[in-house]
Amino acid sequence: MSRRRRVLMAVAVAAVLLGGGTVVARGWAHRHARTFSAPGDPADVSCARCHGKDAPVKVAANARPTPFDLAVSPDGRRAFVVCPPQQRVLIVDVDDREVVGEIRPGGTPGSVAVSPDGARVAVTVVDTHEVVVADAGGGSVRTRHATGTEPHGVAFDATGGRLFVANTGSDDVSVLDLAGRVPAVRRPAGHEPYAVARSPDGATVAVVSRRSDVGNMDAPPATEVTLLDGATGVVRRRVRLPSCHMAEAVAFSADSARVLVPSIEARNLVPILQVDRGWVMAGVIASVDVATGAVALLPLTEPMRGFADPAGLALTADGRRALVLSGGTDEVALVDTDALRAAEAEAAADAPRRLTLALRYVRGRAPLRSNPRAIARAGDRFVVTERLADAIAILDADGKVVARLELDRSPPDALRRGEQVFHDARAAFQGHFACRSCHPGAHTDGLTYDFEIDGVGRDVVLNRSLRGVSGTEPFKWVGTNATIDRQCGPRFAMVLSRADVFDDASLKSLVGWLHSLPPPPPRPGAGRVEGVDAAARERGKKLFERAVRKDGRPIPPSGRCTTCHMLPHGTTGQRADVGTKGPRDGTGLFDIPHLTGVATKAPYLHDARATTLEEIWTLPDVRDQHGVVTDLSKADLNDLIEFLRGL
Amino acid sequence: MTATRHRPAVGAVALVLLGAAAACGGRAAPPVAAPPPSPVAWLVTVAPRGAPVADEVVGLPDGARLLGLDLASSGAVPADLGAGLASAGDACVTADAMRVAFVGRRAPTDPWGVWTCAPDGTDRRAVAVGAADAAAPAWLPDGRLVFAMAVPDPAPLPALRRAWALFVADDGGGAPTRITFGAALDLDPTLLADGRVMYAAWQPGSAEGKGRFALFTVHPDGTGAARLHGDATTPPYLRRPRVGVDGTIAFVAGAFTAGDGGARDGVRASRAFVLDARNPAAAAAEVPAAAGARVVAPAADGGLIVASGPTWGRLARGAAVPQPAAAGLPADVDVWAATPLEARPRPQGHLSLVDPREAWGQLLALDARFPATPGAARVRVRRYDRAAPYADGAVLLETDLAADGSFFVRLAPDTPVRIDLVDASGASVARSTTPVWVRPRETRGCVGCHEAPDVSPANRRPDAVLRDAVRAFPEVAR
Repeated sequence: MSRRRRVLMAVAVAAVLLGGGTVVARGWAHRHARTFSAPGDPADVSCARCHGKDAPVKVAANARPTPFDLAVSPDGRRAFVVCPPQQRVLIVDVDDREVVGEIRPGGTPGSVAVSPDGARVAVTVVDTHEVVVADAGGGSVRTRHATGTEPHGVAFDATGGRLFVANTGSDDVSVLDLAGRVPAVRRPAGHEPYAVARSPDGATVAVVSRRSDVGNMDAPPATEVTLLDGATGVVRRRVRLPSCHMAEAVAFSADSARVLVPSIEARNLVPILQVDRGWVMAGVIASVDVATGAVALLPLTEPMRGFADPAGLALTADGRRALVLSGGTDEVALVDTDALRAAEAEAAADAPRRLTLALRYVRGRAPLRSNPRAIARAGDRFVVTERLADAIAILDADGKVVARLELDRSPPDALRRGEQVFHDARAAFQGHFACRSCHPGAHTDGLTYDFEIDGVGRDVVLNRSLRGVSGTEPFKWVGTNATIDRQCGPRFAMVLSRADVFDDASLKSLVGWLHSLPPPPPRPGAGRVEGVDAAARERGKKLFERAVRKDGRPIPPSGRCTTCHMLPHGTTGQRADVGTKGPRDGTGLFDIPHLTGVATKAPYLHDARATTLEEIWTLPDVRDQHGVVTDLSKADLNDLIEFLRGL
Repeated sequence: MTATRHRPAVGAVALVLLGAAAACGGRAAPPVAAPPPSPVAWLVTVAPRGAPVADEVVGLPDGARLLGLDLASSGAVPADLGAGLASAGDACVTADAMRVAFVGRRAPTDPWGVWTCAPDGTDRRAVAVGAADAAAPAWLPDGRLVFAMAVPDPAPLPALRRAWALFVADDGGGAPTRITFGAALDLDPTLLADGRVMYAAWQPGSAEGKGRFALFTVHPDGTGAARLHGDATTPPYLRRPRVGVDGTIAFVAGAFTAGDGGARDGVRASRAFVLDARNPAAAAAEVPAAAGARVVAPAADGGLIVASGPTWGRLARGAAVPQPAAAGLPADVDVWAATPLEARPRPQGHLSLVDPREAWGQLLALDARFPATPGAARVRVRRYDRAAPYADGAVLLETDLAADGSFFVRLAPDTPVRIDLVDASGASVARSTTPVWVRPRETRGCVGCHEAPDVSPANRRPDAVLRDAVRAFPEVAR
């Protein structure tokens, strides 16, 4: 073969290989993209959608509005609508139903409040750990104020000179004097404080927490309502809502005597044998007597009709009717507040409950579009965000939609459809709950559950986060579900929803959306927002990666962190026995959980026995079975934990 | 000329009726695709005027016919869906309105059976046609059928002659699967929006002579049977429940009547009742204007679809008499039932955990002392004897209640039992009157004893599940 022919042959082979490689790569890319699409979709999932420079997922320029929280000006003419994916707050003219301006808070907005005089708007910025104050007319940002970690809910005090901010990530409330006359203070609140409201008389500020306290997993969980003095910011009372969690909205009664908290009332300690009658969970309004702290849990779930994922609540001007949103059944419930208060005597917390009680005060329900989240009164109307429909609905006091502003008229893509499936409770028997009910924000509710399929009373396990779950197969604590499809398909229908299996298109959209979820962001240690202790983190990293004890003796591979928690995900996808098998567990071999966002996932271990990261290694009977740690000092453990917090 | 004047009125009534409730269940859920245009708008059961019912449970006379009527074409000849059968009637339509199920028999001496066909009568299939009577079909969301079928158990009520249970079968055949194992009279299944089967079931009561019917619900696999409606205030003979698209439930009821053969061998269900869609356990409202109707079905506007005498129609809220549909029916017939042939929302499905290979089921009570038996110390499980429903059956197990009042027992599946609570001395403090069963691999849960159907449990982990279930095997008579 001549040299020329050899060269030609080589070129031809290279061309074939290159072409073939391109074809293979394109085929793989198409299959990969199809993971997040559904049959018949256009190529609506681009590489850039998920793989920006802040991989794996970044804010896309074409992100849908996804309206979340809102507030309305005192005159009822303007609504300020938080659109987190677009990192802006829309200013909407309620009468004309048009967007007339926007606020760019410089990050992902969490919540919004309007000052009593209507001149200013406060917007929390979740990812910069700030609250910004903007001009309500033009939307320009005037001042920025540091808060705790991941601020969400915000409220002005009665004078408009002070802000109360719920710091979800640092479990506290920032009390900020906007004039700077008084130093900012942080008051401890519940677990993931989320929403804030000021009483009509201005005397009290209520902060509700999204997650229940982390404690004894054999006892009912409880969520804290923190009541602060509206003038001084001092904590006046801490009220526990038994078995409640996912409290993401709060309002005061017109007389300022009651705090009304839409919430999920969990039955996580009861074996999941059925779904009806609120056996797994029920939607409730928790009514808290401000003066005494007494709590009544009043069901919104009716005997044969669930009220999943209670969301926003707003009252009519006279306070006699409350409109309460269900983010799962896509409805608004019309609640007679006089009848609600009259029923309190029969709604003692932590006792078997008659769901027909709801019929005394729930006058009816009206339909809304996908995942209504927030509601605020605008004169004699109400403004509602229909989050996953990208719309803002304007309702009358009977819940009837009298107008609607479409923020995005394009049809939902596969990811949006998957997110809608995730939030839709109509897939569960009688609409009692959605996937989201246990996985708020696709994360975890931090509760343990007793599934029938494992044996009643056996293998009681902690609910796990879905964020950053892609690539961390298998699933379930015993690792028996190889794929998300299996986890969310027949298994979900048999052991949880007790209804139909998702149809193929819905399941594919749902799984695609779950695969697209980024892990939760690292959460710095409590009390620190910007000041991550880099030196401690570096020392912790060395401990995480070490192969020898402090005395120089080698650590066997089975005792090293990295053997099982291989980064970047922090799991090998295998199972391991770390000495945590309990008397009612069928096995001691458990799936090695991934570590991304581990700081946000308390409690820990398969049965939630460790309430903190430190307890993983300091509980009795697990010495050195879960990694060699007995030679570490308290300071060493702190360093190790600091490292883990950064994952 | 007469036809020209009449047509708009017929059309208007038809529109009202077509928008009304289905007769075999319905729900509020995402709508299904509309079926292709069909020439048939109503399925009407007619029988020769004055013909007596041939069987009280089946509820049809000999010679009944199932006709498909197109109200928009007054001159059209009705389709005879039961052509070739001696009797046919009681139609039920799938949610997509593409299949019809009905009751019929080939000859007056044959058992009644369940058949299916297309809306025009073609593609007829025998679903439960054999040695035993079958009646009252209803479609499940997965395309199977649930119906009542006679079983060889002792008959607890002479007027109904035989014992009946609910069965499930595929459209087109295969061995029916029994799903109820109660007190031997489980009748008239229909579908709730949530996918549960609602049916009328006789219960023995606290003593001889106090037995009565009530409405029960059960999942299509026979799990989770529970009382929905019926107590001492309800007429004891309760039959033919129907569900509207808004969840409203209607039924007919009446009394046990003395007959030639002695007490309690006669029955009469001649009064119509409606339940609150949001609270079906509450007292039923009687509809006097529908008295005498064999079956009433809720309409979407709060009225009822009523078949009575020579016609059928919509009984508006508060109206005195049904508005006649006045379609082209044969002369000299009575209308026994009328079902609109229309699509409606599909009920929810149910993915079963029942495993027929397993020889056990379990029962977990969270607090047997709830709501009103504080003195209970032990639970005693007895076999329920259908031949002697008021006798104490053999004791299958007896065990202490846990400290929190819970108990957790393992039982033989598909076997009716009754639950007694006794105090520390063994004296009875509560005795169930309703037999309970578990399906293979089912674990049934209840909040307490005789709990109301709307009670939601407290959030506590029951002590009883911290140990394995107490087993009933081997059976020990006592």
